[in-house]
Amino acid sequence: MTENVSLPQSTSILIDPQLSCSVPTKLHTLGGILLAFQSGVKTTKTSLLLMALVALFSTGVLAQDNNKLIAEAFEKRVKDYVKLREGIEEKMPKLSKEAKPEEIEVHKKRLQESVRAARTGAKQGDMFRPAAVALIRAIIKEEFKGKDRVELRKTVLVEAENKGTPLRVNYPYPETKEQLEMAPTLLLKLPQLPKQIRYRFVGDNMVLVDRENGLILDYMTDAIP
Amino acid sequence: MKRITASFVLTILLALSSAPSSAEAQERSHPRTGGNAPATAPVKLTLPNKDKSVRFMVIGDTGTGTDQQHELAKVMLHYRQAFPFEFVLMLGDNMYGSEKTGDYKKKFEDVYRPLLDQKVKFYASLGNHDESNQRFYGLFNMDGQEYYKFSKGNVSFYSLNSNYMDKKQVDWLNEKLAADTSDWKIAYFHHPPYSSGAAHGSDTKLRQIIEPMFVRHGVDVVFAGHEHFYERIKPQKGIYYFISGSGGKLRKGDVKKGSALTEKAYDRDMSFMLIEVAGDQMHFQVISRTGETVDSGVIARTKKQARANAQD
Ligand SMILES: [Fe+2]
Repeated sequence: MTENVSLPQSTSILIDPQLSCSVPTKLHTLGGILLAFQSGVKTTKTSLLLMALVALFSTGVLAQDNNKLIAEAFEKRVKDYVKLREGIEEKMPKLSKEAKPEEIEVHKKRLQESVRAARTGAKQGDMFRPAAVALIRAIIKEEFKGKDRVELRKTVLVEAENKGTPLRVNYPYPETKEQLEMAPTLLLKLPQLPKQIRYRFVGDNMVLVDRENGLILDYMTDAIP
Repeated sequence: MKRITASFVLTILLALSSAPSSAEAQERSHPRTGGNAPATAPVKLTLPNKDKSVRFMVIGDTGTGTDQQHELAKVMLHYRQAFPFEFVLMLGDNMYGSEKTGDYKKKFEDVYRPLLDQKVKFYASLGNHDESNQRFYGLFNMDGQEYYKFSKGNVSFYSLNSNYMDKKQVDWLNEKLAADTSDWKIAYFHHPPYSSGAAHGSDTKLRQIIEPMFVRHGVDVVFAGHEHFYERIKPQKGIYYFISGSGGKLRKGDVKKGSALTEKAYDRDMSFMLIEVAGDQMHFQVISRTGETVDSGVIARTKKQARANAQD
């Protein structure tokens, strides 16, 4: 005979009643009650292990949900910027796909100046709020372990030709500095950005840059594990 | 594995280094460059130069505007007289340093003016020194996109942005490759998935994402730059990888000696590649700043049927 215990997100687990537990246990989570063992059941190592596994699983699910919310909130803040910037760009003459260098230069400068003027109060942390920073740090740490971590540190902190770039929100990323490649494996895991916005490592920092006007939108420190 | 066994198999039929000896090689004399420029060897074409073939040049890491880049461009021009390539693939780092109007002129237009005047089209990809705004530059023919596809004859070309291979680009590439029925699929971008360079080396994170797509969808050849030398990589999973990143800069002696990846390498001077796709064969010739042929050969793919089988 078995007992079917409900878990959040339509996951179920089969509990063998022979695995007894002496302590009545209820695991409450934000998602609701996970497990409820009948009282008077004797404890065994197996049941404790099982409970621990269930607790771990539910914690993981919750953490995932929470991370999703954090990522979505971050993505929304970036999208809000893009909306503002698109509104400004719409009022400007459109850059042709067969533009001359001088047209590209003028367009970039105008877009830069207009967006800067519209965001005079922008400051570090507007987009990279603490929860997003923690999440992004964790994703980077998870992606770069062992040899990969050593390689990343060498590429970004030693070899990169953008070290020492002054980071000031709402100021341009210098066009003479390298546009350091971002590992695709990392880009697939980070919160997704609109096409106009780029993640970029600059020294130990992760920076958000607008690819057209070159403005630094925000940055977070201690990004490199 | 399936692809290797069931799909078309590319084979190097011939790989001659340094001294092309083909009886068909065309020879022309041309003037030597002046000043301190090195003496240049006469034009010796190893490519078949057939009427209906797809003919193009490959250059990488060009954006310096130095005398050496000009000297290399002169050799290109001489070779075009013998081999009228129609277009050029640019492998990124099109513009080192600033990107003002004068830089486009100095680092690109002035260098390749004779080719531009002859209506040769340049199709650029972006390197780690290139701003995204280059995609709007008319003479780079990027159609306002950081990554794009175009076709010539029986060949599809995929210009990718390896600086920023995000989900959008991965999805786009997957979709385009899956629908592509061309005989040849050629991808080009800046960072090399395989490299014997001591300074940089293979871009393994990029490789991890793009190579499975290339294998799945039958990409035949990949051109990359970033490393300032020439290298022909031993075929990997049935794909031929070339590095041609010394169009404007040279990292002398940077190719690791005895690298297991190297089929052929040249890191003593700057170079460019000439390519001719004729039916099921892709001929290549690599020429240095002094006009020497430093590598040449032909890659053959088996019949179309093999590819059709692979897609079943
Ligand atoms: Fe590069």
